[in-house]
Amino acid sequence: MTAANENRDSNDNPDSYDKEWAQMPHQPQQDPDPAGVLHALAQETAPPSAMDVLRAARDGFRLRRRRQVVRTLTGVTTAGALAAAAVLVPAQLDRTGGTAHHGSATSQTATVTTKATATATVSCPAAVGAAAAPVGADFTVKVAARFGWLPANLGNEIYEAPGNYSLNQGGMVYPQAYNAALRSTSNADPGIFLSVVPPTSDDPSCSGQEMAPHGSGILPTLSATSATSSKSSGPEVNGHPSTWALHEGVYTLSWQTSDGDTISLSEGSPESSAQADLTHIADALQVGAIPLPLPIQIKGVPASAKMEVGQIAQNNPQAGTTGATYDLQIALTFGNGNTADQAGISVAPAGHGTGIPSGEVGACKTSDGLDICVTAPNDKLVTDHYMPSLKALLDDVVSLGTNQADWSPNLVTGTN
Amino acid sequence: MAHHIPDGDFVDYMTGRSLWLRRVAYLLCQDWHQADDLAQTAMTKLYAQWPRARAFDHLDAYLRTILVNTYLSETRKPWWRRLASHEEVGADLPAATVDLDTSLELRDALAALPPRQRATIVLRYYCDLSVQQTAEELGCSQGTVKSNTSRGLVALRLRLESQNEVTA
Repeated sequence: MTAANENRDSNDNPDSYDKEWAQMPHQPQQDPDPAGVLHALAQETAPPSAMDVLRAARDGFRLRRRRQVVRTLTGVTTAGALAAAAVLVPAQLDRTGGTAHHGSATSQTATVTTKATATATVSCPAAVGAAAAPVGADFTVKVAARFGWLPANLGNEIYEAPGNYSLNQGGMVYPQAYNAALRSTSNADPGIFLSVVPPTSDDPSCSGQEMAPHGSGILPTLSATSATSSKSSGPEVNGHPSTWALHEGVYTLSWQTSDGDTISLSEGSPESSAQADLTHIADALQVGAIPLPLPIQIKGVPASAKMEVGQIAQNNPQAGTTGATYDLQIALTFGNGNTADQAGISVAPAGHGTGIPSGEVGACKTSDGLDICVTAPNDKLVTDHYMPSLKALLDDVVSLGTNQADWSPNLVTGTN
Repeated sequence: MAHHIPDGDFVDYMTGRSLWLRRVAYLLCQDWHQADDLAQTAMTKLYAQWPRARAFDHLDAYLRTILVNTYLSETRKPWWRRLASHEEVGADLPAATVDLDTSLELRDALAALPPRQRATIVLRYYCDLSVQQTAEELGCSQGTVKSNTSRGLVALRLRLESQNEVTA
């Protein structure tokens, strides 16, 4: 064999593997070892390569930029499933009065800690309407916008993450915003970023605070003073004037609704069709507090749990029409302050669930066509708040089945 | 429209590694077209990390880890399919490198292995990695590498025995 034998761990016993292989009856004299076989296979004549280093650099650069955006949005270093980030519908359970009310993050000045890696000068949008009313007071999950039309190549993977970014760790203040990202079918990069930013006097662009890089979906426009950016008038979007911003080959279309929300749409790939696509998407975009049906409900959560919906991310909400697999991730917190702990609920069609992640504990069930798992880093941490166990929480999760017509935006019901 | 100008050292590096990367990808998936896709994705991910990765001491290992992780991730997706038929693969084979029947048998046997076992076998026996190095690249324990290696080889043997019996 080769140098691998010399490097092998002393506990390893390569001789046994090689002996096993040597005992194989397939022409052992021609294939003395697995390495020889693999090297022979690798030497086979191949069709012309389709690899393109320049394309990899171009796509990789966009991916790098998007990761910076996600880090900026989430304040963490893992992009993972949350290729898109959003802020919406945080709520805190308060059973003392029999009703739920918002957590602090639902205020108009939800705070987010970010790690902005670039700065940009932005124009400060004029507030031309009342601040958007808080949503989710009844634990109804709502999103600030829904797509009415999308390019054909963006139909397979859609990431939305309405959630709560009330990470009150100091730093910059963001207005409550909703963001969504749509990954192109090339699987290389999210293709469309959408953000809806309600008007607020705490808009960081107006307070001189450090800004997120362009493309985050938060910034409405870029200044024309940037060396690599330009700005020009855009088409009328549902009766509202808009602005095109071009930054590093990526177009962003921004406008304000009559309610004062600032909408930004950007396309991740600098294709020639970007402006036409974005204009079409903008025309068909539904803006407003739109209920987001989910396939599960949580019932019977004890008041002592102080449960709060941290974040909701769903992949492929249009599954069923695209053939792709739907999945939903919900992050919950229990307790508050220094004693708060987290748990997660994952939902996927039966047979597609990912189970309990390595290093975590939890429980899973299959119910009404859905794989549902409740997981946490440590069972005890959650059970301190939620008696008696994660299994009890799982038992409170009710499947609404795979028929989206039966789904409900009311995530928490029947509390006690 | 502005376009990003690739880093020259990345282009230089990948120019020298493309063939190797493509071959490893091919051994993982046994299809040249999918191998191109895997290698392309690995290159893209590497470039996304290039400002940091260019200083790595073991850049080849880092790229290989990206490739293997991409492969394992792809195999978990529902649309992952082996698209190449035997006829298509056979048309790509040269006459002189290895015996055609043997090559097809070995490829089929390798393709029959579960993805992680296949990745383990490729890393151990094609990339010449130790158990420890393989465990690090796959993100698993050395014991898992050992068991995957043993099971993979046994599965290969059984598969080849079965094919030989059919041929006989």
